[in-house]
Amino acid sequence: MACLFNEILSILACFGQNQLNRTVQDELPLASFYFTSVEPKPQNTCYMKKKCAAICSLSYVLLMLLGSFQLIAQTPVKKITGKVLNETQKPLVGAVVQTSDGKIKAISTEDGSFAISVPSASTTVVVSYVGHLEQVVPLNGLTVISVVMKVDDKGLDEVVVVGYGTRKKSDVTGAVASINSKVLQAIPTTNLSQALQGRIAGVESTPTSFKPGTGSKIRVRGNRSFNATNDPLYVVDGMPVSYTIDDINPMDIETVDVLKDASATAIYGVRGANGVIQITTKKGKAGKFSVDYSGSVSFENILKNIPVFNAPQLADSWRQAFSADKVYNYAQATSSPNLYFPDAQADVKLFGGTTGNAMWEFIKDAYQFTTFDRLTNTYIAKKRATTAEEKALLANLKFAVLDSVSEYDPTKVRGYDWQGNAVRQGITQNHNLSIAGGSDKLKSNLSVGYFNQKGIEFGQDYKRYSVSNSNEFKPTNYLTFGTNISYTNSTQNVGPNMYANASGMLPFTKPYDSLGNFLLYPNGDQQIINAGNDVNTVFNEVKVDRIIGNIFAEVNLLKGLKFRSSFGIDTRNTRNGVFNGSLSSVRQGTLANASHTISNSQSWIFSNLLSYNFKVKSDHNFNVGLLQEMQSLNKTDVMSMAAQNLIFEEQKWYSLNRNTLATVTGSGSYTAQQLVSFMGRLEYAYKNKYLFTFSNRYDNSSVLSEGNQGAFFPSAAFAWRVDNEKFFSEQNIFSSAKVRVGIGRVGNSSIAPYQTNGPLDFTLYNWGNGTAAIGSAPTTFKTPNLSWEKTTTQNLGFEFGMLKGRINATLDFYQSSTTDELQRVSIPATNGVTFMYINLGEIKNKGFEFSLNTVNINSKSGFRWTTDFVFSRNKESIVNIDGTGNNNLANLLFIGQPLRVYYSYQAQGMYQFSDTAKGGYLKDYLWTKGTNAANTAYRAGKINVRDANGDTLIDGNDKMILGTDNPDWTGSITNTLSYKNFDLNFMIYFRGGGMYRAPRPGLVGRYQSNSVNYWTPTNPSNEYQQPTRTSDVPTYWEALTYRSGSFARVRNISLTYHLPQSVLKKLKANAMSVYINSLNPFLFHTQSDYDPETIQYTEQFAATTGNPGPNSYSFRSFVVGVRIGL
Amino acid sequence: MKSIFKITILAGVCSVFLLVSCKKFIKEELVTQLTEDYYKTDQGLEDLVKSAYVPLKWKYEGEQSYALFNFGVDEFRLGDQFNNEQFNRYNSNLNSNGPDGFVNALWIQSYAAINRCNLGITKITEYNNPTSRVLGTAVQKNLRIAELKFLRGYFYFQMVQQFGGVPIVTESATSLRTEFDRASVAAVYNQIIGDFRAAGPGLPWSVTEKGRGTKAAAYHFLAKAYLTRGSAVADARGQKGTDMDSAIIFADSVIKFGPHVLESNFGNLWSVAYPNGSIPKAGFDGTPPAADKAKLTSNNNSNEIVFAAQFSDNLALASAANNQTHMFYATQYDAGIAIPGMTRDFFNGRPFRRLRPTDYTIDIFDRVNDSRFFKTFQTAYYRNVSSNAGLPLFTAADAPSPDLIGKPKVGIGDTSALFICNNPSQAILTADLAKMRFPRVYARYKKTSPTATPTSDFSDNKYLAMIKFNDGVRLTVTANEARGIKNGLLARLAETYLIIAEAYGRKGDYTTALTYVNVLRSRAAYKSGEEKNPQNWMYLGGSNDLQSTSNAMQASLTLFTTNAPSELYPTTVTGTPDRFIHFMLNERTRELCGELYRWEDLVRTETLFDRTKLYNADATNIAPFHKLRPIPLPQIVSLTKNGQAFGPSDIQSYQNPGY
Repeated sequence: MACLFNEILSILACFGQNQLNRTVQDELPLASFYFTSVEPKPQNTCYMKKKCAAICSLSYVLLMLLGSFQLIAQTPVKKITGKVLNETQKPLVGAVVQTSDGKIKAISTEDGSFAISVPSASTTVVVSYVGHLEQVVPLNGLTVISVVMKVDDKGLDEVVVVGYGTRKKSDVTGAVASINSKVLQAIPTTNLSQALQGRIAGVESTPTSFKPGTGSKIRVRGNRSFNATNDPLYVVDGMPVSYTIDDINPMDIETVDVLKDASATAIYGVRGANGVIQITTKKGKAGKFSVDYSGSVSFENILKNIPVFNAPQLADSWRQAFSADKVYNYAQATSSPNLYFPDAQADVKLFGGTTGNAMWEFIKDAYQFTTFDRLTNTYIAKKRATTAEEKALLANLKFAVLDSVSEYDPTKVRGYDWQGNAVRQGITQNHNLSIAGGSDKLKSNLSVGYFNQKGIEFGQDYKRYSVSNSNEFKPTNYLTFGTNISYTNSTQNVGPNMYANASGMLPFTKPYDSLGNFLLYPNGDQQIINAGNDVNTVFNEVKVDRIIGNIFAEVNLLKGLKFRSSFGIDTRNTRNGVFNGSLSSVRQGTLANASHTISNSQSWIFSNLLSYNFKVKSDHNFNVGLLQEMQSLNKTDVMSMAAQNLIFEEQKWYSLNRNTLATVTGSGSYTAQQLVSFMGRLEYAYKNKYLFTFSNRYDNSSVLSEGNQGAFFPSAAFAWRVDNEKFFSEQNIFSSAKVRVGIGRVGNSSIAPYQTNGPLDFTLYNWGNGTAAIGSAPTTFKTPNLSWEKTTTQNLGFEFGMLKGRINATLDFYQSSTTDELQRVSIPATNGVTFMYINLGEIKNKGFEFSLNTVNINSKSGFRWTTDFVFSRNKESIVNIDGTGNNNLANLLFIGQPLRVYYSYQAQGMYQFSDTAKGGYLKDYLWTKGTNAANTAYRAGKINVRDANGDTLIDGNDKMILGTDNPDWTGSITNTLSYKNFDLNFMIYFRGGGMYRAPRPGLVGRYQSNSVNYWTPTNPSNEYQQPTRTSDVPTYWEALTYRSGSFARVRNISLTYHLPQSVLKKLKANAMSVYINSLNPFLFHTQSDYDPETIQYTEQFAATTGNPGPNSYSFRSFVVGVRIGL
Repeated sequence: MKSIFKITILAGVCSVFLLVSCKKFIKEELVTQLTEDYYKTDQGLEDLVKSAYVPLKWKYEGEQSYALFNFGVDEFRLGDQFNNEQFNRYNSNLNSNGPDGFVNALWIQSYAAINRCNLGITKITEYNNPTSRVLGTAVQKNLRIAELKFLRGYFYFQMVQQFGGVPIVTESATSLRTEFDRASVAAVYNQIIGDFRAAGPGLPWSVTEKGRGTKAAAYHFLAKAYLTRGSAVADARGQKGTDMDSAIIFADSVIKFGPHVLESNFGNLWSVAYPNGSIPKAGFDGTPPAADKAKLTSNNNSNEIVFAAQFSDNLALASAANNQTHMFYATQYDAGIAIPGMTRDFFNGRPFRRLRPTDYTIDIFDRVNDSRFFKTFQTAYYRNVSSNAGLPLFTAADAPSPDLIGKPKVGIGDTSALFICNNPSQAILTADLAKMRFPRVYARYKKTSPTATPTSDFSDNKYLAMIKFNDGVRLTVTANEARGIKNGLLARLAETYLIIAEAYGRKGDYTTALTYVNVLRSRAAYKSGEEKNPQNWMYLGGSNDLQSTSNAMQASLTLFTTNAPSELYPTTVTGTPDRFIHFMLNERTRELCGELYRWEDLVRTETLFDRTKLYNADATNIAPFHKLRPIPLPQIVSLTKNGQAFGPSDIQSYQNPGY
């Protein structure tokens, strides 16, 4: 099958084009003219340019002629009136009534009535309404008619947005999945990327952070690129956007359609490599006027507290650390007898009793001192006799056997709860108002939104104002103009990380001294910095202005022949102010510093699409499309300024020149890239049973080397509507069925601009101490052959409905192969530069997606229970890295493995005393080779890692692939139960497999540590090593961090109450509901004390002291909300 | 008709867009990005030359500084917060694919610099534009070419000392090359000496743009290259019988004709590390010592400096790291087992506690007469905390006068900690130590009774901090600012003297050798009228006077013609020539201790294994093969042989033995 597909693909470019031309030439000479002309000649772009210009000019002449012809042709003669009703005889607002040729249209009004003028009383009118079957009514002389619309309950018959147009879902040949606003808004979220989690098979959403205003990383069917982007393309109302989709208010979104396989995305060519997410915003509807308000307030609380040692536990771990290094005694010297049990004198020194350190106040009550004299260094506390067991233990551990030890009561050690004072209850407010309405000639929608989240950590919040407006003007029935514009203004306070800081503070210290003065170093240790004041002094504010807008004009030239031209702009301007005040953990008492960064980014896209939909006889339906498109992508200029030692703090980053050094440093940059593209598409349906789509796109990108800038991206797909076959009606198990196969190729050129021409870098040097000597040095070679990265996807899909649509399922199998990976490869540094860009390497993705919607109960009493089940599994594997068949250790790339793997030592617990005895692992195995016996890492209480290659040496060769960042599978189950006016909805999200890393505890006798079960001579733990004073980064610590990332999360439980009609009538409202929702209430995960989703993938750290850990903290929310429709 | 009008407008607008040439539209417009075409201009070539100096800084920009150049030698061993210990312990982590990547970075930095030199030499030679103001004349062009050849020589010299034979690349490649054979050590030395010799005549003795290559720098390194090549006995470096004469001639020309002179006082080179002001009387407060920008500037501008990597105090010109060497030698005076009255400040530095001096280093100094000892190590820490909390107070029993009872024993600016550098025979009674009023006293040798065996307070946490790199004024005043602004000393005139001295000695002319050593010794002695360190007479048996120690400091032939105990010769060292080499190493420690020459000096003199094994208790695993660094594996694996990627045997044969 794969082979066959490849065969098809290799000839597709020409085949697609020829097929297209021949078919059209046979049927319609005029249209074929366009086709032959647009067939791109890649070798000669100049030729192409002239051709385009010629076609366009010609087409507009034609267009004008046809337009005027149509104006003359219309001569209405007969007026027809009537009503459109649903099956329960209720009026339907906004139903479209039109003549069978579609030239004359009317829209039903609020009471369902309409009036239409038709050429003659024998015409046939067609009535259509969303979600209902089309009704064809022959007038037969009648002038007043009543039309009853029947609900179309075939699941397949929704409309989905494909590239450059919409299609009935049943007619789509590619793998496309959709969700509507109802599903999107079932769970209140800040942004779209969060809302997609677990909703669509094949779309993986993982939070990048839980800080207010941050979004998620979206992957459609896995990663496929080493160095270029793996983010999907977002298309809003037909316009590809260039920046994060998370600026957009999710409440403005009507539907989301995800194009997953290349037969669907190839039409976006070089930008479609990672899937395409089509977003349709809310629009006004003809004949219907509505005002909708929705508002909610939610209360957020941290989901999982990070367990850290309490004061007595931490004190114990410090003692153990000192004792392990044989310095737990008053002198803290190995020359004095080392102690094992808590000792008053040793503690006096350890916890600063001799110097009056603040820690001592918390510890001292555990002992009963008879003498405590700092002047003479005399500290005598009450003792008790040692028990026989304790004596035996000391002897056994080779400690001095003491007759008495200090009387110690750990419950008397006092403690301070740092964490509890670093988090708060967050509050989120979300209000949205939309007004939509329209007539035949004008449809309009206006939405305004306000979102304000106060995060669970102090100083972190996010505020967003959004306005969006769409208008569609239809001055004549062959011309449509429209605009869509959305503006958002958001302010994100990234804030300080007070909770993480608090989790690292010693419980036997407190943030203020006895006089109430703030203590920057509560125990005097300058590595343990109290960030408690950061909420007042550390600011990191990101302000974003985002405008996405497009205007379009569409002309109906002939029946079925349309020309659409659109121009869209996407602008994102950000301002980032960073300020660190003097009394902060950043500046630690030195004068404040600040920076101010302004970034202006803009993209525009201009596209012209000619489409022709026609039938030959009644069995052959054709739809052809031709596109020309120019894109200016991400023209960005950035200016950044910074200053140290600000004179006063109130100014934050607004007057950087006021600093004691009288120096403001600055930097800036400018980048731009462009794309020019042509595309042709042919869709052909035979008897609505066999559906074919062929497309081919030609893209030219500025970032690639001259001469290699252009490429073709062809695709082909076939769908068989089994339910339209005769034999289908002979069974009654299945209510609908479709089989799809598709293949296509997409590209990726997402490398930074200016990389192909031998770019230079600026170097900094100076003569003497002051004169600038800024130089320029080569960074890489010219790469004249750099070209696209290409992804070919094959997809096989099944869609079917059973039991009269009670069960609907979609199944997709796919395989994609990305070749000519754009890579930044390391080259021998002897060349003078260390890397260059090349096209080499291959990544394969294989997977399976399944989604199932069932109506479990739909009783006459009004009880309805539905279940949505989504499952996807993707296997990503590197096939080839550099052509040699070798792995790339430096970048942790391994053949047969996904991109992000965990590669390290495998832990086998701790070495135990038994290992050191005869017959033990250390004694008889590890110590027998090389210098192992002298290595202090191979002792009881230290981390035991597997000697994977069996050479009796633990070294880099023993590292192995322990797991990957990718889950094996993900899935979700959503249940909705409704009865009368109540809806109960709950969703559970599952993630199976994958791995993450839990942080390293600080078992060093100096810092606070996560609460862990560590090894001591009397506690032979296999979880964590013995604390030691000398090393906070113990050898092989990495091995202890790896955890399985499987979890189940209850995403929401919501209960909605719809107010009954009787009440609504009194309130003059159409609909009104109130709901309560518990978001993320439960997480089922046992591998660590962390929420796996709060820890991002990191396998290699820049510094040897680097430590994995959460960058933010997840929370559960309780939401109360209301939705009102007038 | 209105519609037709609209459509016409629309069509017109669309056509205009389409008429824009596709080709032009997708052409990259270079705004803030330069490409190789810039090197066709004289400004571009000038900038290329400047960029070739930048890799000089790398040696000082992080932990590679001590790890590659001063770890694993006789002078220093591990402090208690050791990172990169493999470079000191020589354990199995010191391999070509180690976790640190220093050897890889050294390789990358050096070849990046060499490439810039090669590119510049070719392009400047080709450049022909008489109207150019900066590169219009042959003199101007030759000056820049000479600078580049000097730098190229310098970088190959650094490479050959660390790695042995490395690929010699003298042409800049225009496209990817993956075959690079290692040249012999002898061939690399020929390249180095050729470059320095070619550079010298084209360079001026002094430059206005301080930091550019000079004749003095070229000849200093040329002399050092000859000395290094000629020092080989067992190693094959292509040594020639004339090497010592060549070293003498070129080094001597630096002294005779160059503009550089020795500082009159050894301490002037690092004066930033000395306290200014005086210690207050017991019971009174003074001011704690503070860093002084003027001192630092004068250190940087010292005329003794022949060549230095330039670091900037200007944020806009500073690298992300700048000079970080100030952190690695400091002891933990500020935390851990705390010293009452002390907190971290800029003057005393940020203690990373990576290296502490070995006993050899302390004992090789004549601590009574040689002022360099107390100008190299910090023995006192002056109270810089204003709060009296935790400080011992005078009591009726120990107050010098009744009015001091209840006052802190040391005021602000007074001695909070004292490191006493005595000999075992001078061990102090613990009872006497307890009587001292300083909150902390660390005696190198103490004993509980006159007959007891001496023990030491010196530990891996509290030890003598080397202060030559102290940098009290850093790039910003942010707490813990790591980016120092002291220049990185690559060569100073004192070393030129030592090069000549060693070259004469290697020729057997010990008398002349000693005249050069004694120039430095005279400078090292306490001057007449110079106050000596109080430890001199209090604990070391010296005298408390203002007399010069110059006479006592003069080195004589007996120091190496006999097995002089003061020189701590290893027992394997016998015979005058052999002892002379070790004597010179001792003298280099006394003069250049810690200045990031040691590892290369020991390798050069073929003494790395013996001396490190003997004096560095932490270097337990050192083996003779450690005289070369491993060739970084990331570099080897990206190479090919006859178009094929390297197999395991190719990798092994490319690698240095032992790794």
